[in-house]
Amino acid sequence: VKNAPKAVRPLDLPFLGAILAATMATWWWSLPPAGAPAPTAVQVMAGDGPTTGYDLPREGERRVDLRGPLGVTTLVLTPAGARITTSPCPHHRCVGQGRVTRPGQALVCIPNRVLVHVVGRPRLDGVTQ
Amino acid sequence: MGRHAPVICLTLLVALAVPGCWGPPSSAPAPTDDAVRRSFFLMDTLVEMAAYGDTSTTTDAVEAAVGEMRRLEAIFDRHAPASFAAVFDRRAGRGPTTAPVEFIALLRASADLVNASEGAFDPTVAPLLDAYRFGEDEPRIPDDGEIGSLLSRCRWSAVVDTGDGTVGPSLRTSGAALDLGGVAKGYVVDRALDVLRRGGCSAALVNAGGDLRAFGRKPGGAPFRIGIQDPDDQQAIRGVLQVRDRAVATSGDYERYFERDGLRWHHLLDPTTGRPGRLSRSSTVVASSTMVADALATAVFVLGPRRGVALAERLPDVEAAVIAPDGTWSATSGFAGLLEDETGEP
Repeated sequence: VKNAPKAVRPLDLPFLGAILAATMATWWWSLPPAGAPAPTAVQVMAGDGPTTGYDLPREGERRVDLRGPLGVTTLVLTPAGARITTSPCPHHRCVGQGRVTRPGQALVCIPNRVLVHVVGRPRLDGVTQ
Repeated sequence: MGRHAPVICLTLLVALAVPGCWGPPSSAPAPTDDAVRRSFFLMDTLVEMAAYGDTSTTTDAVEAAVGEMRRLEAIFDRHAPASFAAVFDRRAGRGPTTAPVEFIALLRASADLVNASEGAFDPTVAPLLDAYRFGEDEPRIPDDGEIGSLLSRCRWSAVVDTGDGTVGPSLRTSGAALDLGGVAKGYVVDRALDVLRRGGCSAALVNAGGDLRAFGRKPGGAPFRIGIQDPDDQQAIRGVLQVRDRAVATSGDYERYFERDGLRWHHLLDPTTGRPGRLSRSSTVVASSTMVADALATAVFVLGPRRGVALAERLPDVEAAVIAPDGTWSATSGFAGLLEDETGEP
């Protein structure tokens, strides 16, 4: 035991520092920009049904059909967010809402009773509109 | 290299562990705060409720508040044929009737708001709104003759009798009707907040389609942060209000509308002309109750930046801001103090 090599020698410190620095840099760069956390999932309520969660896909698109009192509203999930592409409502305002990409943002179709929330701590407590 | 192996192994182990420890798995939901939350549809709008406090107490209070809102919806939703509001309209011209105390309270408060707004807010425009068929599959534009005929039934002082202690309320004119939608939604929000407060919540926010009210401070002491929607982009914000124990409501030409020949026909009708108000894109009012904020947001929108802001400036405990059709911003003297950056213009 007296002759066993030391676990850390002074010359090891540059190696240690370099690897840790590289790791921290990689981790830091992988974070989403400040104030814009990446969306990971949405919660969906349709008609009188229960709230259902969907993870956003890591790549490509995922189509989800949501059944409300007027028919089927189509939700498209992408790695960056969600948008409604078709809906049986009269004026298609929900389609015009575009894509939601930030936690707390929502898509709403009042006539077809569809609500889509991006999961996460919202930047705002509410929006007056 | 050999003698460095233990160090490199240890360091790589730490390096690999760091992202896993510090970053959430990409498939896991992002964290939310500790509020008890409910979202549901009511009175043709989305209601979002967030309440803070002891979880058990707060959950019970939220359920009670939802129940109270549903009870009041059955009174005020004029689009539901069995509601009292619908029955009241159908009885127009047939004399007084017995009404729920909540309906009478709202009617009397509306009378005060009609007076305070000098008629710019007037729920008797309901027959006009019905004539445009907003929200239906085939909306239409009534011609001038039809508008003139309908306007004769659309003046609060001539049409509405709020009753007194012995005689119930009535609509004096056959064919008259009330659109209490805006103020009723505000009234329902106010009642829900009362239930949450009495139920033991330490803070809460109730938002019914953008008409909202907050009480208390969130855990940590932060006020509620409320975004004001950009009239041109449904996902964009024009400014952020910091709100505590206040109500906020916005009226905008982007809520209920249809377009014909490049012109937007929206539901915020000028009671003097029967046509959509053209002086504003949106108006935001901060007041002590949602009912007042809601009614005044409509009035300020119709009056436009100059007269609307002047009206709000005259009223106690009211702040307002108006975005004009050219995108310019006008506000009362105290509005800037409610904005996060306090620049006066979002």
